Amino acid sequence: MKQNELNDAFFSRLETMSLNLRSSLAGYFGGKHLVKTYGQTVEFSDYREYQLGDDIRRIDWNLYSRFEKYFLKLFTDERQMQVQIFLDCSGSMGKDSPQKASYCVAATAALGFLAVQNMDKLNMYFMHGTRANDPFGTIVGKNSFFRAIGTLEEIKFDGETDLYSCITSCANVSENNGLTVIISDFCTESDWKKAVDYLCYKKRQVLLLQVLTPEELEPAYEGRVHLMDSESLDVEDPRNMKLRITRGMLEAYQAALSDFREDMRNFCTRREAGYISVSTDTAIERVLFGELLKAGIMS
Amino acid sequence: MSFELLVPLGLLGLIGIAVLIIIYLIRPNYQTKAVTSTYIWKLSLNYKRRRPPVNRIRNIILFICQLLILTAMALIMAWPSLVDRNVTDDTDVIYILDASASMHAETEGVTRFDRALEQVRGRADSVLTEDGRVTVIVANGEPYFLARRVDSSRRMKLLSDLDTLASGGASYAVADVDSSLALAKQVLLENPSAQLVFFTDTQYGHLPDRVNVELIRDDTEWNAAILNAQASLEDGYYTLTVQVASYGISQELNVSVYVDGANAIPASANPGETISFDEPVDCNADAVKTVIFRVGGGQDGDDLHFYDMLDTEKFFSYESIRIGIEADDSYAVDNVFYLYGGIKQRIKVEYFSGGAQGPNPFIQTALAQAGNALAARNNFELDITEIKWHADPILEGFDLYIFEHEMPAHLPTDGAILLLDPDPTYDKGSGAVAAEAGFTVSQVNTLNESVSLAEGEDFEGHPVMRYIMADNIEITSYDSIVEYDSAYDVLLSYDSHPMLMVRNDGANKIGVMSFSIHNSTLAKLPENFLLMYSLIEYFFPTVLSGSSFEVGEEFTLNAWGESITLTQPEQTFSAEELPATLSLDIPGSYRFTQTTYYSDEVIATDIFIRPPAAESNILKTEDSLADPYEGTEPETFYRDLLIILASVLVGLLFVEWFLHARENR
Repeated sequence: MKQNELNDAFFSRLETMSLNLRSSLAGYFGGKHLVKTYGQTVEFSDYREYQLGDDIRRIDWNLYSRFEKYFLKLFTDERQMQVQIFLDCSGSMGKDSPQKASYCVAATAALGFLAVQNMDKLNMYFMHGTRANDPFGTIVGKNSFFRAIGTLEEIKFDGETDLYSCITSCANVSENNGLTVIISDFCTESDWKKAVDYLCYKKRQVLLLQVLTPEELEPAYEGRVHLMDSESLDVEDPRNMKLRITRGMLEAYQAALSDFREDMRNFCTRREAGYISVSTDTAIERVLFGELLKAGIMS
Repeated sequence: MSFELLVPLGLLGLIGIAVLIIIYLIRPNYQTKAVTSTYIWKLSLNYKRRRPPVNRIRNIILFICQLLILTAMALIMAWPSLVDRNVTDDTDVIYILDASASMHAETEGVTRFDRALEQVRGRADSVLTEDGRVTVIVANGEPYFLARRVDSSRRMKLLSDLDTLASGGASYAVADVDSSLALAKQVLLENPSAQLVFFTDTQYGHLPDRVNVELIRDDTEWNAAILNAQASLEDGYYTLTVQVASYGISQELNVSVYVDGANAIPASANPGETISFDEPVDCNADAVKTVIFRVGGGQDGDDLHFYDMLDTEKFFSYESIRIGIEADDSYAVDNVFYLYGGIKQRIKVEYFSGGAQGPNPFIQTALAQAGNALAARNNFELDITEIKWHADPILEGFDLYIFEHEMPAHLPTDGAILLLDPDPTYDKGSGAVAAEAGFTVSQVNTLNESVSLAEGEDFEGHPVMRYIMADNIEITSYDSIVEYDSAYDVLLSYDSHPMLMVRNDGANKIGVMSFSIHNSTLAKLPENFLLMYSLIEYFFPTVLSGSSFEVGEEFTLNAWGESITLTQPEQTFSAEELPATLSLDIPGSYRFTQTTYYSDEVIATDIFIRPPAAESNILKTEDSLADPYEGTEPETFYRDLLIILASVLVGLLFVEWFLHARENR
């Protein structure tokens, strides 16, 4: 799979963007994300009275001169976050739809770039079956990132993916230290809701990016159709369907799709997770600069 | 009107239906479409099921519509038409008027026949006024044309004939409907489109096409009827069996019996007594009940009712019995029934045997047996007078004289005569008697051995010779009759000599047996009784073959004299050629009178003509009526259905197109 969209022009447009994470997150030192804890940055935050054991070098003598009391000057802290991107690599994500696969890879790369640009640690997991592979390990810095995305073109989309198993079996899901993005079409029998609940339990900020093709959003075919699921093993696979697609059937499909997306949105809202559903015919920039900004994920 | 296909081969187009079904069976499979995921489609099925299965219904309608289109096309090719072969011509009308006895049933004084006739008259007048043709058939026992396809020029004659028919009223016979329809068919063969209207009181379950039946009867009509009655001797007294019925309603009928001339001995000298009694009988509607009046009564049943006659009510003879029911019903003809024949006709017989042996016991036995049989079968009673030995025979005052061996001085002139063994050896002039009787007897021939008699030249078919085997009778001697009148019928013979001969020409009723019963085997043979019975019946035939006949039923008349005449209620018939056959058309009592050859004695015989029992059911129903149009060739009218079918086809095509257009919505 060749990713035409992952070029210098694409990444240069992302230079000005950054991921906007919750300030209550914990993290590692050395990042660029301001947090509520007090640290050693130059960003003034507050005063407090001196207590025994405090470093006397941090006493604000100007205030002492005015109040004849010892006050310490506090500064905000900056932390490095861990951004985890779980990419659904099942057949439905690109086996029969290169455009959808390309779009997902581009989204993964874009979000990853935003992470490394903010000095955050980045992990990209590719979910196949019940396992989430992390071929690049933790990526820190642009050099490592660009080396990694050079191989994204080789990702194969086939088979089926159990989102829940992949996420919960991932060994490197740390707590309260960053953002987890799940990129999928979520058209699966797997219980992705439990996976989200698991991530929320781990106090991670969660973003669900649902990628659908225009054909999935508005099927253009009708009549007697034998729908062959891209993840089906053979013709007799129960996931395949024989349908007589009529206008009423299409209306039922739209209603089902609308309810499905609304259900996802409501679920994510209840868990303070982000949810973005995009069509592959929507430009990736529009998603990043529109939908993610609107959702508050980017700033 | 029937549906026909003028080109039935067009139905081969229906093969298209099979083709359509095959097309449906082998229609193209589902097109394969690879999709990223069918997950949403499966979810959509739940949304789809919530909606009514309009599409499935539409598909079925579409398929039916296509079938109908193919059928319509095949029918169009087969050229469908409505064929009407039942068109009748209302300007040529046949009216059949039921003139059966039940048409006498009346409501408010107007009979059914009058009401029917009035309708026929009105309709016929209307048709003739419009230059049509009218046929009127009167359906009685012997249907006939009152008018046959008359046109307006004979309108007045037809109306006059209808008036005459009205004054005569209906008949009392059973209508011969089949013959009436046969007459109608004669007209229909001339004009198969002629309209036929049958005015009748019989309801038919199934009517042929084009036959119109006007039911002439009223729901308020009912009839209480005596269907039949008979008297029979039982233990010396008469038992009456009466069949009654009530048609239309269930009710209690009071059956009354009046016996005139009861227990008269002898009837000529004793007018007898009058006995009357009655009995109420519960009759269910339309069911026949048998009422039995008998001494000792009996056990009642569902359709059986017994009346125990009192000692004062029992009788062993009668002159007439009137059985009646009092009912204010619609049909009064069958409310009275008469029985006659309760007094046996007496035949006075003198038996004279001149031999030294006195009265011949074989003759006495034969007379006794014949008397019993005649009493039972012919309603005769033999009154036998035997003349003692050596007394002179009486030569007048008897109906039948039997002389054996010794003949009288001359023949009596007031009765039939049997001459048994006219032995010429006796002094008392057998020769003279033989001469008076028309034959000559010469001598007694004695045979060496017994010989069998042979059949005479007139044996075959003679009524006296019924059941007689000539060669059964053997004799050992005989009187040689050498000459005899040609009026004699020779019945038995031996060696060309007549052994038994009879003549029955006018007043000459003579039988001659030229051998002695003592010198024959006759005495031990049944022929002894049979000959005596047959000879008496030959000379004294049964006057009437019964005492009760149905209207129109033929019965036989005979007489002891030259003729017999119907004298009551009016002298309308006299028979001189006997036996004669007669049938009477009006119910009631009739008296026939005859005068015998030998005296002025007048013998009267009464009979009762009863109305047909079938006509008493004035609410009768028949299953079906014969089709007079069968075999005729009516004019056929075709109504083309192509335009209608074409319109239907266009409509179906539009519907099919509409359904197709909406199929994928």
